[in-house]
Amino acid sequence: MRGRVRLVLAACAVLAANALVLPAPARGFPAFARKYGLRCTACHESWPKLNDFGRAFRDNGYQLLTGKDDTIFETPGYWPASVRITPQYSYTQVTNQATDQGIKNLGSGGVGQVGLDLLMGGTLFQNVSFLVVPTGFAPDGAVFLESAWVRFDNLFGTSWANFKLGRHEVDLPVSAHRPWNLTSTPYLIYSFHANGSASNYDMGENQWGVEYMGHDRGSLNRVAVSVFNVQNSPGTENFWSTPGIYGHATHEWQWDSGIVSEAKIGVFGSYTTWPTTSFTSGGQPIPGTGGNLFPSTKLGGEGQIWFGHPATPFHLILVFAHGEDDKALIANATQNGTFNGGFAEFGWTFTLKNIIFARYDLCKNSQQGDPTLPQNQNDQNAITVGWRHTFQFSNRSEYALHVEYSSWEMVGMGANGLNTRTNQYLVGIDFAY
Amino acid sequence: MKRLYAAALAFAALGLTAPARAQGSGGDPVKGKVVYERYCLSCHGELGNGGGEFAEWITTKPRDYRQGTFKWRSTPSGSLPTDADLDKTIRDGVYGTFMPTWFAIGERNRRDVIAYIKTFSARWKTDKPQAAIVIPPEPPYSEASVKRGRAVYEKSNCAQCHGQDALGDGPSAHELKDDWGFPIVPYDLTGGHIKCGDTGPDIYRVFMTGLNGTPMPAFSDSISEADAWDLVHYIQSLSALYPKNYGTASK
Repeated sequence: MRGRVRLVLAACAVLAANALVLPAPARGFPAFARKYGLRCTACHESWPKLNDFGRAFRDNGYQLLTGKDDTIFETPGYWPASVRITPQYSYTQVTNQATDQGIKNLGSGGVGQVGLDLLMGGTLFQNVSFLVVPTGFAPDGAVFLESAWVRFDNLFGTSWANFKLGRHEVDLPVSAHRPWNLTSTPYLIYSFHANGSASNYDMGENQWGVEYMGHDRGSLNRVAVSVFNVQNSPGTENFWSTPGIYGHATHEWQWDSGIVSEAKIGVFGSYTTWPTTSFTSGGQPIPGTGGNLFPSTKLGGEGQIWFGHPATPFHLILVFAHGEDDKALIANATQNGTFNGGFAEFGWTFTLKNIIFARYDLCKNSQQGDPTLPQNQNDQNAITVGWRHTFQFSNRSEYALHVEYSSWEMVGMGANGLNTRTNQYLVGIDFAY
Repeated sequence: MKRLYAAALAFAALGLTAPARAQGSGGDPVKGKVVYERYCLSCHGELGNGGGEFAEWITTKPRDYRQGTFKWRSTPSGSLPTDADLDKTIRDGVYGTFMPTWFAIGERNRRDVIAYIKTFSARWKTDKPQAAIVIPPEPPYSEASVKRGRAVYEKSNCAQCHGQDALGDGPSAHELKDDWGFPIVPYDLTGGHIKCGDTGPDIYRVFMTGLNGTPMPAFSDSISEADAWDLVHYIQSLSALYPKNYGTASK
């Protein structure tokens, strides 16, 4: 009986891993293309990752600033909505899983029941922009409000004064919502915490809060600061129940050179809290949830280089960070847990319709909160490689063949303390309209 | 950290060692074709004829490059524009139309796409841009200059197209067509930004060189330099942006 339960649990683990293969929330916004008559390639280096023009457009509040941004210039039938969906075949294998037949590698695959992103965004009026993204709509019926914000742009007549209110993605070095990859392997450093930390703060997950953002012409210099209530906190009651702050500043160069056409450097950091105790209605603390906030921090840097011609660049991205979780967040900890990590990614858009990309993620604990644990327990690494071929694109829609492999290893997290590795294979058609 | 600085300096050096060029000149048309397909094709069309997939939905039609006729120039009426003129149009966009500012894409993209745009018209092989007109120093903005400018506006019959109050609603406004036969509406000069740029020299250049391909002629033979500056000041006075934000309004 016990063996059957273990088998069921293992199967559930594989199914869960398979479910993660659902496309990562990502952006390609044909509604903008329809409004302005521009092809996807105008804003995307290779869809969905933005290029310089796309970043400037986003930073300007989804405006081209030609005097045609206000919705009154649209035909009454214009509706600022788009959909993105990726029908796909995927196969997932997870190694070193406990079953009633011993430790096994388990795999499953098929044509997944994928959900979709319903993307609604644009301008309400000149210098007032918005984004609302319900996502999900899979057979389980769940719909999740991923983004819901309004932004006041160019306040006081300057691009250095923009304020956003609502659920938004913080200004990451590389957007977690615009990755080239579609398997469930995320940018590990965004969600990584010291081993055993209770904090569930994920930089890549959208947060309810406010953002200040400023930039110069062309967004060569940018700064953004978000203040928010940490998403998914069990102690969340109001804006200040589980506060967090995130900041990011970058400087970019553009050169008239065929060797290195652009480069960008930046720094980012977050200070977030997480509860360790909650309270009953009578005010008695319940261990493990609620109040008694303790911090997690991350501080990092980025470097991005665009080799070759800027219209068909080889884009190299390096992001690294050091993090620390308070010992109070870690079971049996006698010291704060610390870690280092980051990723190196490249995407080569060798034609407007083709990109090959690859990424290596690495996160390593540098100090276990519980010093009795192995130094490298829950160290993680992942490699992702893929190719996208766009069959067609216009100023209304785009569809592409997407082929990808990723492999994500967690040290000491499998059965009997073995390493576990999740291998994912994906072939699909990614389209947006 | 020293390595990081060294890397940053190396990248900077790579950029700094790039050969200095006049804005927009010396582009690579082969690379420019890719730039064109990435950014321009949906409006200006694969053939450069202004017949892209979005063109039919917009009223100010995209430029047809095949004739080598361009509105925004520093050169005399009828001349080809300079590379710097084309770069300015691409870099700053054309306010009030669907031509955005492409400042963000960088100089190299713009330079190469200019080289490609020139391949659409044989005129670029047989003709050369004339020298840019000389724009004299701008006199100070004053109410007296504005008043004189209004007189120039009336004397030059600007109201026939642009209207008595410069709203773009003159008696001829609804009869005008461009060289390609598309209806064209005179610009409402009271709306704020000016299509070709907001500075005094930008506006001066328009009525001294004209807008080729449109009914807007060059007035260089009929308006003196002093009168032209007065007219500039009158036009600036029509907008809430001026003179408070005189010459500094950005896009």
